[in-house]
Amino acid sequence: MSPVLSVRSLGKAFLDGDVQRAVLEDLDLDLGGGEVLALMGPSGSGKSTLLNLLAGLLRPDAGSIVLTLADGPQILTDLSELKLTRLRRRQIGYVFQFFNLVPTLTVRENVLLPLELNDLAHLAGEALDRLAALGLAERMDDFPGHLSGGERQRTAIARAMAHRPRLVLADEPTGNLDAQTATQVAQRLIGEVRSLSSGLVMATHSEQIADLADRVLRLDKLTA
Amino acid sequence: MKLLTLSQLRFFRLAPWSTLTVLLGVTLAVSSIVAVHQISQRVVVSLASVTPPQLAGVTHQLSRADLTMADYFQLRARWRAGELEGVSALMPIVEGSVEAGRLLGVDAFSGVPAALGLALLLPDQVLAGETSGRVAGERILAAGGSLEVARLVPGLPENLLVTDIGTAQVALGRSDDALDAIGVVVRAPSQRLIDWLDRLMPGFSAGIGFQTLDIPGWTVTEAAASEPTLAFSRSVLFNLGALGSLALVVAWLLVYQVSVIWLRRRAMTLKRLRQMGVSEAELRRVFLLNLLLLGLVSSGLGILLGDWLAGGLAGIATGFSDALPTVSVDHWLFLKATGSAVLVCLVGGWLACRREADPAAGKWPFRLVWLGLLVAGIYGLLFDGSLLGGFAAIAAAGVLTLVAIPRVLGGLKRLAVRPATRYVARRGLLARIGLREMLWHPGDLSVAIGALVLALATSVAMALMVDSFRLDFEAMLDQRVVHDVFVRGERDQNLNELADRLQALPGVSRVQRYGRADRTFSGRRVVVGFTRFDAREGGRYGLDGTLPQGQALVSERLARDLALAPGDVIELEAMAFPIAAVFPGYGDSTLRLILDDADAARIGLSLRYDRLSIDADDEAGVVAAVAQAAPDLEVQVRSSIRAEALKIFDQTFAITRALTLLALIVASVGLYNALLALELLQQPARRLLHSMGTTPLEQRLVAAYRVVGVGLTALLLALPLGLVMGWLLCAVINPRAFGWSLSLALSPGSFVWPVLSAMLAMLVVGLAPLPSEEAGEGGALEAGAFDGPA
Repeated sequence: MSPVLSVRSLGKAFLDGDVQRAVLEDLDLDLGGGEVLALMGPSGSGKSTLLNLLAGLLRPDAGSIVLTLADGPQILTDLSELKLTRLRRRQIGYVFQFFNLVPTLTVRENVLLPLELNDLAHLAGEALDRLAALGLAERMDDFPGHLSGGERQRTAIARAMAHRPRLVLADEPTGNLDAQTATQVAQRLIGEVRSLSSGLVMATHSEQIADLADRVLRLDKLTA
Repeated sequence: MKLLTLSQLRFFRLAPWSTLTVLLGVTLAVSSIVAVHQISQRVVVSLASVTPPQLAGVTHQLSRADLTMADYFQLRARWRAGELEGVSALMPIVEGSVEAGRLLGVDAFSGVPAALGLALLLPDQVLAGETSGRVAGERILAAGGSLEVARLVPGLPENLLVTDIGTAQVALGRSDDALDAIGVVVRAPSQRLIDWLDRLMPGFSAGIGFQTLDIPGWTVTEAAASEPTLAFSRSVLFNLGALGSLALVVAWLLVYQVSVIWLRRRAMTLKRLRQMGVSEAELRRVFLLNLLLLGLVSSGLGILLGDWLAGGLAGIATGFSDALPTVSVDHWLFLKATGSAVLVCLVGGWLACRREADPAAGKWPFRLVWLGLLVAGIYGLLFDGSLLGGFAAIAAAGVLTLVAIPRVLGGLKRLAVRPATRYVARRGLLARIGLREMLWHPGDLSVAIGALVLALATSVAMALMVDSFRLDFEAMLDQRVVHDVFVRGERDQNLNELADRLQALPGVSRVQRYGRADRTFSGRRVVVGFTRFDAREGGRYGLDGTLPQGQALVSERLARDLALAPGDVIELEAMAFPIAAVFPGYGDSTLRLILDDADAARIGLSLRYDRLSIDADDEAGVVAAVAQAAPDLEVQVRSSIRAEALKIFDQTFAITRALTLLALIVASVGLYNALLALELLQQPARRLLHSMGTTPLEQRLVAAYRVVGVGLTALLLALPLGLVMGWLLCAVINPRAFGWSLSLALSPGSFVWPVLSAMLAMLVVGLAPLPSEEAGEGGALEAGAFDGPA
């Protein structure tokens, strides 16, 4: 299993009034290609913060994050804001609990958006095939407002995988779905990640979803 | 209520930018109203100084053929018997020309206000104006003997002499029974209302244009019609007032739109308050109370800004009036400023509350207004010849466009959401996001686009009208200003001798002499001009050849007022003159009739010439010769006349440009506000795009596409509306207001300024930061507006 992600001594604190509150401290983490890591912990334990740090949306206060790419390792913490944005665009796919889709783009356009941003038009056929495989062939020209929760999440998965990212991050991707749909969606996501040999870090409150992962990281035990 | 008010006030602090934009928008609108009021007051004061004080209270003039004192006493008896409803005073008038100008004889004991102590005059004495250049004791020749200037009084026009009626009859050689007109002071209830409205909106009565007095057997003329300058200026004031109100309409749309946004952003809070038992009426009261506070603050700021603006504009637009007097801030100004701001805030807020409480119910006031305006517009255009009717037609065109905007946006949205992968250009999705965001909530953005469309269309229409006017004006200069040098003397001056001397100068090929006298037709004062006609002189009035003897030319304004056309016959001093042609007025408000010298002599006019036009090889030599012979005369060469005339023309329209610019700024503020609200609504999408790796530049690009979309949509609607409004201004408003028609010229230049203004406004709005402080009490997430149905 080729390494995808390596995190060392990661720390992040936020200012809470006048007090610095540590959310993450001295966190080490490794993830290989095709591997699925489930993040669990109560609200405020730092799951979303860790995902945002891994995506380069937040800067850590301490430690390093290394993403291993085909042309060598990239130390996220050393990159400028613009380079981080470019890296995120090309190498990372993100799935959220809500608001995964641009409401003014159709399902098809949402999925094609990462390809357009990355100049990867040749992957369009594959991306749309994946969308069809996810059961959305008939909904391609619909807007997100007309989709059910499950359909939106499946579209989000198709969009997150469209540009074959090295790392996929999912923040409670099934949080607003019923148990049956949640399991289906999570299985789809994991299946797609494994088929591309990407790494998946998935925050969830559900033990049932966490059981689908290769490993589970409980963040409440890490925080002070 | 106190806590609710406090809560609403604190919301303003949470939404500082939109609060500021409301303050700015309403302040600018109030300043527009205040500036127009102050300029109008200056013009009114200026006009009052050129209106004969004896006639200041006269609202109408009555005339009929062979009017005598017996007719007057008969009418007076009917008035005493209560038959003339609304008439509060009558005054016999004798009017005619004397060597010194115009002589007006009035009855000092008629009861008309503002008498100048005429009763103290001796039988052959007259009063002259302080600016007439005369001195007390000076004697003036008249047909029936000489008159003595008893004293000089302030406020009389320089060429007007006023005396007792008996003295005037003698001086003009009339019988002691003959009258020219009867002045009437009408104080009917409607007249009082019109007077009041005239105070509130200077020039309002010029917009109505109907007679409020009807006495069978008499020709009734509004007093203003006999004073063309007065009527012209009042029409200008009416137009300015209408234009000044534009910013107010735009500000009203701004307040309405911001109120809707605020109510949505407070939706969760308001819902909780309702659940706690606070009634809808209480919530609405608190909301309106807070808007009222904003309105009052804006009115104070608007008064300060408007007064300053008025000073600046009056200074720039010297073409409008050479020396406008300064005026102080009066209670009318406070009433208008505060009333405008409060009305705009309360009506805008109330309609927004209605719409948010019940979207279906909120539409009926709009429907009522636009249907009413539509009916008024059609009636005003087709069946009513008044200026107000013309403006109703313009308002109807504007409202029709406003009504069409949500439908146009809806149509564009349907076009934009069609599955269209085939024509999605490479890198087209970001553009598509921006453009679709603009179309996603058409009901919200259409108000801001509507305000921008109104301001832009007015700008286009004004530019079209001004450019058309300018082209006509230049054509007039080309046609009329054909001679090399022009000499202008005082009205009663005779330049015959000078003309002979100039004719003898080497290189002078022609000296054309022009004279004029005042006459009264159907209660209207007409300037009768005369000169020696030949083919060249006929060409100056658009004739193919010379003016045949025994025929007359009339100005467009005179033709319109007296419903004259070529071939009609007018009677002058018992002689009939067929009208050879009607010549365009090109902005001249004076009622003019032109005769050949020979005809002028036949009707007994003294052939005194106060203006000369000279064709010469050596212009400088002629100018020097005139300066040496008569240093007091005004001398101009052709090029300087043209340049000066065009300069004055451009200055005249500085006020209108400033007012349209002001409306455009208010509209841009409104648009910024709408885009700010839209941006807040799209925050989750922005975060999503950010997580997908779009750069800040690309995010700005999405916003830029949105702004470009708004600008293009606004232009798409504003250009046709501007064309319609421009045509209405040229073909309807101008003839009704000023008595001359303009040929609408569609010069590309007319569109450059408005389009550039729109682009500049878009650029500023697009580049302006959309601050994160504007979080409010619950944004799009709570309002559930995101991911809504397409």
